[in-house]
Amino acid sequence: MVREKIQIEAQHAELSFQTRRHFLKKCRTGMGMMALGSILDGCNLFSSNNNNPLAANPLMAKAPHFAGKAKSVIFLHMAGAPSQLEMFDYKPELQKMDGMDCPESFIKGKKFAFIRGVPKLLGPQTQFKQYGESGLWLSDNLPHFKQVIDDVSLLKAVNTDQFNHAPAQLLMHCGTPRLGRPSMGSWVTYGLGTENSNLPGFVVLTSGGRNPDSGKSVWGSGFLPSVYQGIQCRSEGDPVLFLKDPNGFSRDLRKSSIEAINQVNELSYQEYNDPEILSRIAQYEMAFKMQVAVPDVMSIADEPAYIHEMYGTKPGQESFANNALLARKLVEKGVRFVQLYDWGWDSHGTDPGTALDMGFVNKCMETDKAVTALLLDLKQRGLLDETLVVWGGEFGRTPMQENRDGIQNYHKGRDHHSDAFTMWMAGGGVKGGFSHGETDPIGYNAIDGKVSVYDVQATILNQLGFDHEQLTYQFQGRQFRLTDVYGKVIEPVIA
Amino acid sequence: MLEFIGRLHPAIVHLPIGIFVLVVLLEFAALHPKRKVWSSAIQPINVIGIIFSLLSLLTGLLLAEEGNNNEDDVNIHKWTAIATTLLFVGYTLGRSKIIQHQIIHVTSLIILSIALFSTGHLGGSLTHGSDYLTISPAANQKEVAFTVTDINQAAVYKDIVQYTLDKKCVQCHNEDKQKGNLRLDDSTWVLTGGKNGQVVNQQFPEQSEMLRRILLDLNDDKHMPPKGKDQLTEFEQAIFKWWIVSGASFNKHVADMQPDDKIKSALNKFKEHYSQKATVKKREDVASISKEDKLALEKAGWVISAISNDDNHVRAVGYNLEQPLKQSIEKLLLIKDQLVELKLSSSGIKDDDIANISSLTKIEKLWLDGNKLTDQCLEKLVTLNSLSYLNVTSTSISKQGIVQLKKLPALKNIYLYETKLTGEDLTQLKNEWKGVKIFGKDSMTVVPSDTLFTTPEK
Repeated sequence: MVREKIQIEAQHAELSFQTRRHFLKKCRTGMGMMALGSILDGCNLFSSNNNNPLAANPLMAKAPHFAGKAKSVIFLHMAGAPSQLEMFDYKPELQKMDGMDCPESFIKGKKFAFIRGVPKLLGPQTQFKQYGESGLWLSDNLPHFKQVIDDVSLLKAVNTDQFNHAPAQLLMHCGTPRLGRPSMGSWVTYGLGTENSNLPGFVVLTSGGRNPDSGKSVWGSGFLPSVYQGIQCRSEGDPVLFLKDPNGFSRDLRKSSIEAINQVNELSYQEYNDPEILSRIAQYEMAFKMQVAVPDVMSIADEPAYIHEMYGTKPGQESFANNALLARKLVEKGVRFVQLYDWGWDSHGTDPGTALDMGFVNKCMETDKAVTALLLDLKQRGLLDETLVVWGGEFGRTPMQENRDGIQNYHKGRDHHSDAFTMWMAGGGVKGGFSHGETDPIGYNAIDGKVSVYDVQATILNQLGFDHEQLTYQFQGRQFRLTDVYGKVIEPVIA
Repeated sequence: MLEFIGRLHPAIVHLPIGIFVLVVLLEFAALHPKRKVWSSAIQPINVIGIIFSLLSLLTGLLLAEEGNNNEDDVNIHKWTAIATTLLFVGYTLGRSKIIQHQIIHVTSLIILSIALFSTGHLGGSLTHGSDYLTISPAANQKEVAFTVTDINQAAVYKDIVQYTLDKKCVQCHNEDKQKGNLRLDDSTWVLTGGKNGQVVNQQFPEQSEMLRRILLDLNDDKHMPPKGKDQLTEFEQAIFKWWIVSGASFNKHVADMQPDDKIKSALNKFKEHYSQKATVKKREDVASISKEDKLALEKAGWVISAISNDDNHVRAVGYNLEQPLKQSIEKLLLIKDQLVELKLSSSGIKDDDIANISSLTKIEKLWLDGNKLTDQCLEKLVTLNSLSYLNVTSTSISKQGIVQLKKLPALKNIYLYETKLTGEDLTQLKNEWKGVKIFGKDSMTVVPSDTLFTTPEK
């Protein structure tokens, strides 16, 4: 469908080059520009480097609005939405009210994804203790995280307005629950470019057996030129397919064939001025360079044994741990934005895999060690100063046990909850051992320090040196930005 | 309605100014015999000018009624405006006689110009403030650092409330410009209040106008500071509320007022916010690097970017430098005045390749990690007096090499993971090298809970 439309549009655009009106229009402006060009010749105002986009690399490193603390971002998205009540948000009151009917004031007029009628409150399904100099509470599901708790800023009262996975993920990453907008990584590479021209600026890695519900749009470039879209690397086997030259095909031959293709593309760019042709040229060049750079950076097999032990990595398997280690390696090589998605956090309690005391614990165990190792590893390599690590799901989970269609689920599980959930940030000029925001005694609503998804986005951009209101792109007659018309930097978490 | 008409004054006032300027210019032009015919256009223009001039006077008087400005300044503006109008009326009536004597003619034109200019200038001073022309906008915002070290010893009014007022309110409520007849630049004025009476009510503090205005919704017309201006932060609002509700005292200290935990945290945020802002060190301005230099560096494989839109200093990253590396690195001398961050992580460099680095004295952050470097390269760094961050992880550097850097005055962070330094070396260094943070290997305790819970078969 979409493809068809684009083709039709391209046809129309091409046809428009052949009309009489177009010819006259072109004559008018063309002659004018020629005259202007000859007048200004020698003034160096329109020197060829300046206005020839072919000479300007779209991924060239650019200056931010102000000096940012962070140069790279690693966004760890726990797709499916982990339960904040079994990880970071300790609610002893909820334990006391376990099994009681949810007070009507909380559910009146509310819409849930699955809860119907009056659900029962469900106490925390694990124990909590205080850790670190900061004395922040952590659940037993996260046995390693206490080692880095003094390096993170918890945001305990994040709020979203979507309670289904796909729109909520889109809102988190693209600033709107609908399709068609660029993702955060695209905005960042559009704004900052990349510091390593041999690697993509925005890399996506997935684990957990499937992609996020919202599909690849969460790392799409929307209306930005597609050179800024996220490059998904495979988590198993070769990270990028067809990287090796076929037998009998030398690197020089590959180089000259790509050069020839690009020359043809440059000619058609000069004719049509379609920025997508520039993307295509840049991507051919990138692919050629990646043939050398990628196998090296994407291979974790050469890492020392203690690193594997630290992260819990097993080379060759698809796992969050492998991706976490890759994220470190990519950031080390100057990749601007690394996006990890880990599927499997949708703890409804409909089966053991989604039960808070079974499958959910597994998910925590699978990721806790790798996340902790990632932060420690970044820190010891001096990368944490310039790398902002963000962790979170697309929303949180209810303090009530899910009763799908009015019947209590067999296992302990919670429904989707958009009013308050926990995210955290670390490094990149963010405070350590700090907690911002409070929820009410049962963890339902934010009562203090409530922040929206837009505020989180504004803060991430701020740490990179952007005023989120100024990082814009002209499309369909107006300026668009990641945070739409919302967003306020969360000042308290900034170190 | 009358108020609305009054508000049109700043728009209408430009018409008579423009018209009268035109009159004066035409008069001068018509002095030349060739353009004598232009003279006939002047009288009708004069009449139109006078009509608009009267309109301006009328709207101006209505606006003055609102009393948002210093009364003395308004009076001077009012009377000069009336005088200017009268001068033009007189000139128009007597023009046929005046133009017969060239000296009287020219003199009266000069007098008219001066009157016109003064009226315009006085009006401008009323709306923009009398220091608008002379003081640059940057200097206008007084950047006074918050210097109180112990927040408990701070005087609540003098150190905190007045400090905030100075930053966010005084711009429109000062000696020269008094919106709503209110001055907030000193405690006496705060007590005096403005057009709507008292702003702090010490008898019934909850009813204080100041408190009401700052807590109103941002979109409310009465909200202060007005939308678009620098707003009070959450913690400032909390502090103001606390200060006013507890009686708006002008001489108590924080400790006397026994703040609760919430206020304490707001006060700490306040202190952190303002003392931090003041300590941000600004680099000296430099010219941006030339296009040719940038191109030359990019040809050598460097990725060069400015630190920010308003800082021309640059960061140079060399992941993919061209061979020979030594030459590529030498090219950095082109930008040695601007180069403050240099990243040579895993770039394949050896000790000799960075021989020239010692002349790049502006470098603040330097990454040499992931290269086959030895202590020899560190000798080159002893001249880098601005260096505050050094990353030499994954190199063959040893303790003998690193101690050479003790002379560096600005050094704050050194990363020494995966070097030849042993754990013992690191502890020793940490002990004897105060003021510098030394990072080594962060060992992680792997706890045995990693065996996954096995889910029972369905």
